[in-house]
Amino acid sequence: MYQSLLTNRYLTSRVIPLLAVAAVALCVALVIVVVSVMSGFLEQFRTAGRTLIGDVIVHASLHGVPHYDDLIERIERNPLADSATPVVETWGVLRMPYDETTAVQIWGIEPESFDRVTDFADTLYWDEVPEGLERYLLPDAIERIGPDLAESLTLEQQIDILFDRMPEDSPLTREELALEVPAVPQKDWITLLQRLGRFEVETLQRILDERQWEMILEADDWLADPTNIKRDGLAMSRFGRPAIIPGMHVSKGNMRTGNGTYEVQGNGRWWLPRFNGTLTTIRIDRDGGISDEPQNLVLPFANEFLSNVRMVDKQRVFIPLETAQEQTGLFEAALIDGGVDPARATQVLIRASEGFTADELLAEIVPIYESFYKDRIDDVTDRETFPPPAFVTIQTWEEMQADFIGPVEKERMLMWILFSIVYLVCAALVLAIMWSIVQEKTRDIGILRSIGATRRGIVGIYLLYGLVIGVIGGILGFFLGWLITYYIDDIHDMLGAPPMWLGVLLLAAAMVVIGWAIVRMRSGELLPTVLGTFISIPLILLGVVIVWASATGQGFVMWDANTYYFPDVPNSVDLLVAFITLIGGIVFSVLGAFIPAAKAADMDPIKALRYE
Amino acid sequence: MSSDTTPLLAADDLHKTYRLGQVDVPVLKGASLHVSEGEWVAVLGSSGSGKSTLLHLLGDLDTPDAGQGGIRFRNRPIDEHSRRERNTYRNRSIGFVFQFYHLLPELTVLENALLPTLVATSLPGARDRAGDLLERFGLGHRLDHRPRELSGGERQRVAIARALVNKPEVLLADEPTGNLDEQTGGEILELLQQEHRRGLAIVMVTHDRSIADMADRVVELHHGQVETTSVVSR
Repeated sequence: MYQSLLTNRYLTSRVIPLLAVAAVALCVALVIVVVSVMSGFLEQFRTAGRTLIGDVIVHASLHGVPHYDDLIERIERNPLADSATPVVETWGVLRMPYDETTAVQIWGIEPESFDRVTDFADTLYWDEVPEGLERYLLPDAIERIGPDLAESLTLEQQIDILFDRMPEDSPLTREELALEVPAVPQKDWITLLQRLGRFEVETLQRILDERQWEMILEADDWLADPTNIKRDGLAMSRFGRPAIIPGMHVSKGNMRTGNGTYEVQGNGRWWLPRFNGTLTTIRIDRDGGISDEPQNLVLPFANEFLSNVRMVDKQRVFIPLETAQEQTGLFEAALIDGGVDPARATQVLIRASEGFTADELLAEIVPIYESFYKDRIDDVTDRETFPPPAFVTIQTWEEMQADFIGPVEKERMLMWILFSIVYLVCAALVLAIMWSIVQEKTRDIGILRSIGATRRGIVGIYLLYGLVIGVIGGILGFFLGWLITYYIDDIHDMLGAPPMWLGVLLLAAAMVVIGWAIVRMRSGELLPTVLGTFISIPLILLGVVIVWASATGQGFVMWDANTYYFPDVPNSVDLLVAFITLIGGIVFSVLGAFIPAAKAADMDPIKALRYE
Repeated sequence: MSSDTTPLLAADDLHKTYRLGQVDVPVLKGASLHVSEGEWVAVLGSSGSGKSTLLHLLGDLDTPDAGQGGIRFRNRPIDEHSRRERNTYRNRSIGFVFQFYHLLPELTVLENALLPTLVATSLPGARDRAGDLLERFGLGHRLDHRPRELSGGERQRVAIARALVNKPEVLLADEPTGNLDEQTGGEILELLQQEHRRGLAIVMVTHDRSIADMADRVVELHHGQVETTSVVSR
């Protein structure tokens, strides 16, 4: 009973135990934040390992697998396989409209079956043309039908267009303007219309008649219905041509905003889907050499995809399978001596049926390929180009990404070791603080012993003390950790672009501390000077750095998406882990209190009473 | 050693040696003291005579050297008590008053006085008894104050109230007025006198002859031995 009374009083009448509580809270919060971020990271990693590749992958050499349609049919007949899709993979260079050139991994896909296997449609970023992009699409559309549109303008419309260009106080009347019309060449009408389309859509719409407007909308059906962009993305086609779907980070024009959406630089000017891109690829022959001149191919962009795996979003572009086959020489070709060399795919991606694991599916696919090879090897003229089962890699997505996942598993191990150290730090802090409390309370222990307190009772005081510190610190740490983790992206963004007010606030706080220190210093005290210096210097440094960073637009980016593959810091708190951490904080606080408690119990009452 | 009846608290042939570094320092060399029920004994001695050590041994805060003499309470050797019984002995049978009061600074006056009842299973009416004691000692209006808000005399009264709250049979007082001015010390002695009259046995250690003379009997301690014992005549 006296234990709880004393614990309560010791806790509420001193600063030291508050330090212990703060130490425990910080330890617990630290562990929760680190565990949550690392677990979230691992989880993202694992999920990402599966992004856009399905469950099992049949991977052939650059020459690909012939008769892949048959292979896919055989696979899809197996109840463990939900669906399968062919892919042609190659590497190339993509040139973008603003003269940027970047190396890309090109995947030729069949959008429909690819979607069935990988949920590709969900990764298409643009559900509709983003707002404000009309002013670029309209002039482009006018450009496309320029001469026809200029031809169709009536005299009235031409006068309207010219009139619209006149300053308001212009002395020219409509009649006078009409005289100017014949002098305007056709290409100027196109330019004037484009200008209106860019800056005064409503004026343009008022001047043009319905039929002319219809012509424009037909020239770009994204104008007729902005949601058509999704359809084009799924069909991988634009203006009836095969189209490219690049990853969101292939183009430098896409800027990620704080809330995870994307903004296009130059007020939408560099929005990739309104341009064409040039893909350059090289055909590799069977001996691994270059078999032809590099192929240049100009294709429109139809949409962009965002898988949230930085590595993929940064370097992969999708094009239609047939186009890719064309580029890589894996297309169906008639042979000179008669017969046909079938089209090929370098990979077949397979999705497992609901309820089956990738490993179970893998066990089924291996024999399927073996029998496929046996059955079809004779259907190929050049048998050497048909990869035998031994030369085909059939893997689950996890096996395929082992290099990718392995290091993170190792990091997790390291993380656990670090955690134990953090707990030891927590216990050591409590130990040190409790030790000093026991030291300070030595006489109290003597007094208690002199009035009949048992040794066990004395131990009880300090264990209870440790327990209370652990519980309060643990709970505070739990919430602190939860808050930090929950807002970690906001905190990170704030660090990335530190607000000026924060720097000013820190500098102001430093001034207040210095003022206080100076006032107290004049009364001859040393502690305020030391405290003032210790507190104000970091405040000033931090404040100056933040003001500087804010003024110059620099920031501290800790979570670099290029390093960590993902754009966001994982921010979900695993409640079970957090709870275990909380309990761990309590247990280690009590453990830390054990040694000082034993010391207290062993204390000689006489010496304790004499303690000054 | 005044009566034929069994003494309440008896110390016989106590030896106590402290070790200071490599040197053994004998403090008590065969000291004996018997205290009867309701008797007030003053132990008089100069600094270093071993009087505080004697008191600590009587209060079982320390143990005499093994094999030589011992302490009996109600004729039962203390070293035969179990550990639990010895805690109970300190808690119930004796009360300690120290020169420097030794109050717990975080607790209020009332809580300090109640502490012995909190340490062990409390006797019924402990809170009332502590309240009454403090009231009687003139501290009724300061129950919620902290020790640092009290004067020395007031602190010592709280310490006495704490020593008495579990109705002990013997009060062991170690220079209870040593840290107080004469007048305040006088008030404290007055208070002890009152309790003595109510039947409390007191063993008081002092180096002041005039204070010692307030007791029923004065025992003088020299070089770790009881040299003279005198009955105070009034």
